[in-house]
Amino acid sequence: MTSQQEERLSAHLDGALSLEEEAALSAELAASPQLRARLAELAAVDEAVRAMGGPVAGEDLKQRLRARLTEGDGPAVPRSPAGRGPARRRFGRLAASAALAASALLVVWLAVGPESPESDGSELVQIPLTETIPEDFLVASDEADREVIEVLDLLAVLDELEEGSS
Amino acid sequence: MDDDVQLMQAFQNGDEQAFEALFDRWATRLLRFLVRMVKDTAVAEELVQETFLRVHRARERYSPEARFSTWLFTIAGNAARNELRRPFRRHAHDRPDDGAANDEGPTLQLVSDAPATDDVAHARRVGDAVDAAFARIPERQRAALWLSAVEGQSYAEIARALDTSEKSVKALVHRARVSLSKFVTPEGEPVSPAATAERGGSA
Repeated sequence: MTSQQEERLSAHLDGALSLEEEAALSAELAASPQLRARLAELAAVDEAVRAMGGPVAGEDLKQRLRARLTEGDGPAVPRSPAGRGPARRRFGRLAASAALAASALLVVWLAVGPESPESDGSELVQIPLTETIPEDFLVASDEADREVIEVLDLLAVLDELEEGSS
Repeated sequence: MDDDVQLMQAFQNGDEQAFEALFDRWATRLLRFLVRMVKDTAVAEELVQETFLRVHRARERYSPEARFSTWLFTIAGNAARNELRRPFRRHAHDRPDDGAANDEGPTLQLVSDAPATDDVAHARRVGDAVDAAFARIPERQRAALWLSAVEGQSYAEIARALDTSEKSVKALVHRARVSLSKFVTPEGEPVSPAATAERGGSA
């Protein structure tokens, strides 16, 4: 079976073939048990996906939406059921990481000394940073750039929210 | 004129109950789509709210030439993409209690309160296998196949929701089907690990 034939089977399942293409495919299917078997396999995928189910949007979700609409169309930052949306969770995580990093830097600064004349900076590399800073904080520079931008964006959003509520 | 368009027009004319009716009609379907995209029910619920908030705010921009569902899933698709692009979005592996979900995809329950008969147990077994395989295929393939197979959207509608071309959608849907066909038999049975390996999949 060619890949073009297989693609036509998919397009057939999606109802995307023209009448002429459907007629041609019907003739090919009638002549090829292998093609018919492949069509059955691909159709089974659709059936399985349709049967997967999933969660149901309950009344609580509607109530939360209603509350946000009542608040004046709601904030731009989505909120979780507990009232902490992804943006705030991320901000919290960033703030925690930043606090931890600041603590680590303070430890480094105290270990080296504010103006230690003996220090040539080599002590810094001996400080076991990975033991005090979470591994995921040690990121590549481009990701660090994105983190800074993300924090600035979030601070701007929070400022807007605070201005809006005051 | 279909019911959704009538409801949307009523909402445009100030009928808030029409908006709630649209929510009732579409929230669960939207939630299931978004869960498949972001693999996190709590985040998906937030995105459902966000999508309907945008519908509420942008009601004046809705034009009845497009199906309401196309418009809705386009907004939801954008919301999901934005969420997935966030550098610090929560992934399943961020949470220690999600180890199983990380290995086997989202653990969703089939919606049924009926007793666990053989049929139901079988359906759950098949559902789990498909869930796991579905969670592993790329995001855009998941979205394209879901919108085609579950929502019955045309390539043009899916292209709009995913901000891509119809040709790309055709390829995405096909690739998703081919990938998943390694895990499901025509009888709806999950394929055994040995048979899956034979078909070129990694169970």
